[in-house]
Amino acid sequence: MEASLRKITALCSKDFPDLFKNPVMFLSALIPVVMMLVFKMLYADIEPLPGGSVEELRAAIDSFLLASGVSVTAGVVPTMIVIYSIAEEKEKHTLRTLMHANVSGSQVLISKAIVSMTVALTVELVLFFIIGVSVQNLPLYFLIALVGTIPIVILSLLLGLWARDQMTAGLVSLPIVVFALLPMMATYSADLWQFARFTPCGGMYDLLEQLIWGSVLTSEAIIPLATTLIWIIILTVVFLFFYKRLSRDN
Amino acid sequence: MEYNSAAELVKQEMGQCINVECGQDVSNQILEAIKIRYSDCRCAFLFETDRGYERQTIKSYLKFFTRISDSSNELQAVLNNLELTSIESKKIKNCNPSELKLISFARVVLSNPEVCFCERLLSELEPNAKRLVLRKVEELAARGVIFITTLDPLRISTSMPGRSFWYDEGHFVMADIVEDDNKESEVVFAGDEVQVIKIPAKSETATLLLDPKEIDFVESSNKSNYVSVRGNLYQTNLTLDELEDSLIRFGFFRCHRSYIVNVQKVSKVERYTRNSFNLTLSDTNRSSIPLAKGRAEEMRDIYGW
Repeated sequence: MEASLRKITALCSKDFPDLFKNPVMFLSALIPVVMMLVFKMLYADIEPLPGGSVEELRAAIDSFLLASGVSVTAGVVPTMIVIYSIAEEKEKHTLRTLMHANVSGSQVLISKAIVSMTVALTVELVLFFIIGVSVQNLPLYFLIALVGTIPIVILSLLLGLWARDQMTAGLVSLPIVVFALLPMMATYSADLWQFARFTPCGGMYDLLEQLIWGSVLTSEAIIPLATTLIWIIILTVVFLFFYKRLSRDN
Repeated sequence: MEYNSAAELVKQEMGQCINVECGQDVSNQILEAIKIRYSDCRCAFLFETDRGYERQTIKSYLKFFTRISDSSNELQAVLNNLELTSIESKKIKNCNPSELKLISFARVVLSNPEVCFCERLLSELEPNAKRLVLRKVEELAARGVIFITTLDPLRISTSMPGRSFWYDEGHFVMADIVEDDNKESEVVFAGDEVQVIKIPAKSETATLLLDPKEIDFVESSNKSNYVSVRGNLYQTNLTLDELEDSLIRFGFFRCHRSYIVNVQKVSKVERYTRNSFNLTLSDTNRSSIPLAKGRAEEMRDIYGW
């Protein structure tokens, strides 16, 4: 256990500084931040419709930005960090070197998961302050973002194991980005929302909107919360099922 | 001495340093055999494909693996030993193949191993790096560390401790080597002066005694003579005339002013133009050897082709 922890710590201490040296990963963390800054500027001078209140407009914008920002972060950051870095380790044969230095596949994956979760949560925290929502919402926001990002991280680990090289990493990361952005796009279509709310990021999106509208601690939150938790369970089971087979192939 | 499989080789030579001239497939078989046979030992592996993390510096890369292996080995001492201190801040992506190999070797040393499996350890090293690696290998081998190397050709791997083997069609054959204690000394021939049965060829620190039937052809180039064995060229001090005299009884033929060929290995005789012929051999590289016009007629007379 102690050896395992030491190795995971060593792997994390290798992967963290690499984020700043690898332009692809660094940019992936910047994308949601830049996107939210642009949105924030776009919505700065918007006026409420006749008869509408400023508070309602403000809540609508904040809920959209908050939910979209976290969705984009969850869709881009773990994908880039986990899938690309596992694929790069395979392509450059460093994974083989690690495996022959008594590092297990699970230790490598845990370190990638820790790094990607940490970066995603840091970015999500930055977004919270950019959007400028009341700090009272921070603990719940952080909790929802944490739980909501987990399914994407698990999916990224699975696809990272499957990707042979950085070329295929690009291909397999596409469905995750689509999944993550689907709830955001579904705001324009009620029919699409009926489907998008049950996708891996749909529950989180719903919960974040409810956080701003004040219904997150009511029974309305049960379905989106259950959706997210069920996705975590399903993806964990699928991951464990494929893990042995994929790590043997690698 | 001969072994019929990688598993047998590793089993019979357990506890000994060995060097095997072979291809990647056979190297993989040896690797698998080592993993089974030495499962209770601290093993370290150096693969030909090892290139490290390109965005890391040499020092951060080695520090990372020191943390992974939790070894008591001093990073700074190893950096000093292998003269890496002056380039420790260099990015791995900027390192040349020799430096990359030296870094991988440093990684292996830092893990404080009992058994080291190394693919093509010496081939890519520059002379000074090779000297440093061999010095370290010698020091570790004296302390009981077992080195098993593959892929390096015999002419290079004979500098490593332990026995050297070459692989040929399912068999691992031990190379017959005379250590050069005195570089000036003449090579000792087996048999009497006339009945030469081995051809001496130079490797870096030893003289290989090659069995004529291992030799594919002999080539003269740049005023030196080279013996080709399993795709590798070994320099020999004998003249082509001396070699022709020695080898003719083993089925060799002087096919060109600069070439002697093992006729048994010829798989195809081609006529390119009216005056130019070519011999294709069945050796590892499918070598093409010129056949002089005058010699072609002689060859036809002798062998009836």
